[in-house]
Amino acid sequence: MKNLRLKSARAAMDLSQQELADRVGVSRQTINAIEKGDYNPSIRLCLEICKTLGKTLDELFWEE
Amino acid sequence: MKKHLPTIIASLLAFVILVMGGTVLILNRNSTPEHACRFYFQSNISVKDGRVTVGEETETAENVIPFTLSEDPEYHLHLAWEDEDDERSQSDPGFLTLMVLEDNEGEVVAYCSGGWLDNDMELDELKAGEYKAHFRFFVDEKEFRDCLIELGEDISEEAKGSFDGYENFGEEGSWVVNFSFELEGKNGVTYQTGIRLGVLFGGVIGILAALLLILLTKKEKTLKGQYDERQEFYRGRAFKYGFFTMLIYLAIDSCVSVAEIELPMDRAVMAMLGLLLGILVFGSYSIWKDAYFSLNDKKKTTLIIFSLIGLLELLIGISNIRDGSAYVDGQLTYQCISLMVGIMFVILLVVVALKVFTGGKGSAE
Repeated sequence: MKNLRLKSARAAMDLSQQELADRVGVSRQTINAIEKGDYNPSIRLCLEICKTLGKTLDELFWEE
Repeated sequence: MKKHLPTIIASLLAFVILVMGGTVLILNRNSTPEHACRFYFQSNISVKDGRVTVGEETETAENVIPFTLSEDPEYHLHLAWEDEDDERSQSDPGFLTLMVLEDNEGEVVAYCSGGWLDNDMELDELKAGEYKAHFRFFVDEKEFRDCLIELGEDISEEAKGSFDGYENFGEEGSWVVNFSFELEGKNGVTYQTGIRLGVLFGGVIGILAALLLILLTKKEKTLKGQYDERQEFYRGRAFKYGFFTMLIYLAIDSCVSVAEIELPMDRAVMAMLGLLLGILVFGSYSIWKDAYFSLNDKKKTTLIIFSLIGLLELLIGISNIRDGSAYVDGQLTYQCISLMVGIMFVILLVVVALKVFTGGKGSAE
């Protein structure tokens, strides 16, 4: 399932996939895979992304 | 300096590989025999009523090959024979073969018989001149022994016993036998020495390069491949698929060996093929999943090194095919391994290209 909330949070901060990837220490393809729902990140990576984007785990990764 | 260390090391390695490959190529080319006499002939040998005949009824049961040597370097003689009808072992025919090499004055230069007919001999004292290679066939044990004694062979009581191994000696029948007689001048470094030097050189350089890399990655962490968790996950899968590919290949290889199925390749090629298949599966899968190149890898540099190695291996492989050493007697020899490695690199580069063209970059937003 696509993670549109992550994509919009990233866009809101005007960050490209590459920039976000560099900040959290992963490859651009990994951020792309998470946004497309092709890869389930570990809790550690989720926390890194949340910290970088100023969001909570619930806001970005909790399914409603 | 630290920033450019990976590039410097990669360049050094590429340089070493190029020099190594170039040396092997030069050795191979220098060692290609220039003075050679090669004969391949077929002989229809029959044994009947205690007599052996060659082709049509002839007085002496032998094939004679006259040839001339224009130069007198050291020579290497490779003799081989096989039964055309089936692959009977050498002890199976009802006759024995004796090869006698004589110079133009009738002096025996070399001889061999029985199992030694499938062999290599070093002939260090051949001079330029005319020679005759006699392939004589015997069905009479005494006649054969007399001939050997005439050649100066010591036929002791112990040696007489060794005749028992030829179980079918004297058996009546007809055999169509293919003989090959390859006399090749050793021009400087021999072919085998060239290959051995290449392997030794490559092995030593490879071990040194690996040690250097291990030492440097311990000191300089940026040299160590850093993969993110998704890449680690897919690399794990790629290793698994590569491992199972090799496992299945080895199982098939074992079955082929047990069933004694003849494959058009020797053992070295069989082993290397399994290894390359495993690497190919690992490489292709991890490239396709963007897990091959680490986060700190310089993709362009790596691809250039890949292309260079691939090209070099292809060139060596093509050179080996052209000089006929990669495919001998209907079998791929270890000389074709360079070509196989070259093809593997080409396939990996094609996978990289396909990945790029099918949206490897397009999905970036």
